Amino acid sequence: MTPTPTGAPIIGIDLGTTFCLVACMDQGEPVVLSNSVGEYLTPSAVSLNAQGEVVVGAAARARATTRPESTAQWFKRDMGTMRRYQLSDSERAYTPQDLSALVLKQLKEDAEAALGREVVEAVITVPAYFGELQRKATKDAGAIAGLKVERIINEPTAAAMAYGLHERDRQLRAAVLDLGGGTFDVTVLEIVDGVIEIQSSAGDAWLGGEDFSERLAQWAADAVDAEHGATLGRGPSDVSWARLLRAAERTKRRLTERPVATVALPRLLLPGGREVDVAVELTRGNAEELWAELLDRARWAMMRAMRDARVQPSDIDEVLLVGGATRMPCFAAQAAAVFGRLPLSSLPADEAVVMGAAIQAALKAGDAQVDDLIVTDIAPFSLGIATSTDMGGCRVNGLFSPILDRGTVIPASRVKRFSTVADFQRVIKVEIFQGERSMCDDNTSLGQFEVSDIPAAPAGEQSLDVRFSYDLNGLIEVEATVVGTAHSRSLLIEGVAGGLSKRELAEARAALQALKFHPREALPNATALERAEALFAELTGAEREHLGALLAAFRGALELQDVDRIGAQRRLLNQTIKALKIGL
Amino acid sequence: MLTFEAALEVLQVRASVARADARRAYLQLLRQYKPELDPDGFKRLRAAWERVDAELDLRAALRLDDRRGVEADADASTQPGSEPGHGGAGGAGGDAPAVDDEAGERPAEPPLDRHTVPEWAREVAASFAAEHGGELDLSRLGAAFGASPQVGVVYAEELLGVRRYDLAAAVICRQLRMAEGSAEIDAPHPYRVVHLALRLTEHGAIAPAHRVVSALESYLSRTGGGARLSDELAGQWALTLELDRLDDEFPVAARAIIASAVRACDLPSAYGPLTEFTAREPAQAEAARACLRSSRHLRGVLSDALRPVYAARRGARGRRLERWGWFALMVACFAAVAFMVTDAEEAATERSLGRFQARQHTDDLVVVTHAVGSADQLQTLCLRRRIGCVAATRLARELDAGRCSDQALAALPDGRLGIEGQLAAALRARYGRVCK
Repeated sequence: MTPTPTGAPIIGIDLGTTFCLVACMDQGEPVVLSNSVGEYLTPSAVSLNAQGEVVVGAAARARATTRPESTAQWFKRDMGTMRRYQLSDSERAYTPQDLSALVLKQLKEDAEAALGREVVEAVITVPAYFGELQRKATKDAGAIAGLKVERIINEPTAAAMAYGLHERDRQLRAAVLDLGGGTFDVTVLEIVDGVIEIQSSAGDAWLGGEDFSERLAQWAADAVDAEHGATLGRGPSDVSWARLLRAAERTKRRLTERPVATVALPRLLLPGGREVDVAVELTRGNAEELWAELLDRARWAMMRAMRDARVQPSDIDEVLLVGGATRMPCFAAQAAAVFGRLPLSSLPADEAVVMGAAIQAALKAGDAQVDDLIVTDIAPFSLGIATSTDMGGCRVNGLFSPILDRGTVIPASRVKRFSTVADFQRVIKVEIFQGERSMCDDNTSLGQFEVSDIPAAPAGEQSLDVRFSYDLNGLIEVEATVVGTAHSRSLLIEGVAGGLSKRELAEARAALQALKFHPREALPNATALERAEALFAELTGAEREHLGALLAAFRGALELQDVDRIGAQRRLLNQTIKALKIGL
Repeated sequence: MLTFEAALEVLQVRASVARADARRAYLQLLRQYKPELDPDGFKRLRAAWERVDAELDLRAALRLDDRRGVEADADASTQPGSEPGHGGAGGAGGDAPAVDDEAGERPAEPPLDRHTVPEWAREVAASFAAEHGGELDLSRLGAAFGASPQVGVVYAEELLGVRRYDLAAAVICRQLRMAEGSAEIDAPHPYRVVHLALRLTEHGAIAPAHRVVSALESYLSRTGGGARLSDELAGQWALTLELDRLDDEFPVAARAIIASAVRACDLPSAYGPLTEFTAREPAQAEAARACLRSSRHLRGVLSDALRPVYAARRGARGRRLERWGWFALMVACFAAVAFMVTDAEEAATERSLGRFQARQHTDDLVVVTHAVGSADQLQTLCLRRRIGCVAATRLARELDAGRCSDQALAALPDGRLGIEGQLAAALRARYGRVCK
């Protein structure tokens, strides 16, 4: 595997909204590692079981429909915010970083099991639109899980690298569209003379496959409400809503293959205690109408990426679809309409991003396997300071002056000159912001410092050079120098307001280690059980009886603690689950 | 700042190099200065390449002789980029830059600058103004709109001139929406859109102005251009947004005055018109003040702008103080600060006081004292003006209430109560008779 000075490999992790993956470079190719239940995709879900143990992954995801009050999903959307999650009745409230750390810990163990050695460092991907707060939160999550995370890369850049790895001999401009579970990213890149140049990045942090499912679920819930005169609860702890969401997701996937599909739910519990069987039919046309707004937002993002790169649709040679949700025909059609060509799916949709992360891990380690691969990345957001301007004798304050623009090739350093606003002004306050809006109030504050002892002079005659440096690890350094003197002050933006201090990180890490975890060896059994339980609730008639019988047999084998019998029954159960789900 | 010569040296190319060759040189050198392994070397190389690229871009643009009526102060990001095809496998490499050729019929018209409008546009505007009704068939101008956003802006400005505000707003919004929706269509310059919005407000067309502001906001946020407005325009835009966010109750006239001042980038010029407005429409001025309370930024900016003018004028009037006495001082105080810092009652009070001082009608003083409701309030007011008619007003109340005493009346001319000069005499003249 990838050798580093310490001997431990650096792994690449795709920490997605719905699913996670982990990969590593092996002999020049990124290899996706499988988890403890033998699958490549680990759902980003955390649950507390009846014994109070933490369960992560497929088992937790299955519990989302049976025990939604004990399960947390999609916490990636809350990274960097103050949202707290309550699992069952535990007094402890989990932050999104804690939950992500639990998932990362699981992935770390999976990688160590697959590679047969200890793993200490990882490269994690984030959506290109993640701001400084969210990137820091992701690094914190890694630290809480016991992983060193020095490099965060953008998901579209990762996908571009996975794509470009084999296209280096060609000269072309491509657009990579990554529609994941929760976020949408568009990247325009150019491959020329063996170099992969990322040229622009745009996206929508609130647009993903889950949103498409949710629209269907809302429509189905409306139909149920109308038909039965009820008002279904649609909150995160409502079992009926959780089941509807899952059913909507299945329907969404089926609509990819068939023009008509049904949202079918036997025994849906309505408020008031009634149970109804739901079977609402939906055509592809209906669905596309419901999704019109989402597809429109996707279109905006694509246009913005092209505008930032200063290219026309006709300049793009290939359009690449990445991310599970791009399998939807309506999405592919939208992409085709925007770019004027049929999009390709030459990379495995779910795995492209993690493959790119593995490549980046190798690049960072200076691994010889990727010696001839050169990638240039761009700044994901604009950085600047707060300034004021003169409007005919009075001052308008709080304007955002960008110094390092979004889309600048990094690592980069940019400098701009500013002057004093008042006579004999001795101190200038440098307030640093990140964002794209023209007023600082609408952007994110990253920190501030003061430059004092400015020579006394009339307003406007003393100047300050403010230099921003942004490196590949996302480290921001701001340096302010008084022009004419050697006096300067600088600030390294490491701790963002809202991020965790070193002490808080250590505390969170200790708290995580104090949790009870469901034994890893027992995970395959737990996963099979939870999946079977979740499916049981969705079936009727003969199929349900069949599953019930197998479930009972499996439970019996567990009681007897006969290892061979357990293995055989579990395999049978899993096969049956897979077969039944296809027909569902 | 890296010079062109220094940049050429880093890239090891000559000044007459073609863009494609310069780029190739940059890409070759990238192997030596990899961003992961040599960040400083990479930064130098990249800076050199960007410098050379910018220079070659500029040269190409000048050669192209572009005449799309783009504003002189348009920044580089809106200039058409010339991209001679780079070593292309297949594709459309080598064609002329796509920017000038738009889809759709394009009339062969002479180049457009900001002061001329095509004849057909003038005719349409004139005939429409004459008709006063019916929907304008925008599809007639569809091709031109697609061809040049600046035509759209000029047309909108024409429409504004003939008072078709709704239509002008619709034209601009349509232009912005088309630019948002397509990477090929340029948007009208934000400078002209902001000014158009301000002019709409000046003319009292608040709803159309609101639509234009919303459309521009949406365009700027979608395209990320918000942070790229020039300083002066950013200031104007910030104030335009604040104006737009004010409640609907904010008087149209006051809005127009402020909009006009923002457009001219000269806020202190609002001082005079605002003063007149306050004098003419006290109730509306009160409503305006209430609305401004919710807009901290705009209120702050306005006070900063108007206070110095007030101080300057007060200073000028101070010189004439000896001749006109403190009557003149009262008048000056009224006009300057009434709008910003006092409420309606106080404004009315001050106006009456001023009129009294100017014309020495005790009627006004009586009005004042009754209106104010408390002598203390009036006292505070007068103290602020540093005028010694505190006692006079209190006395006036007493007199009107029929509670005058001979002793008090007798004390009037003395100055013992703090009243001076003509005010005292006038009071006495008025109330002396009444009481008796």
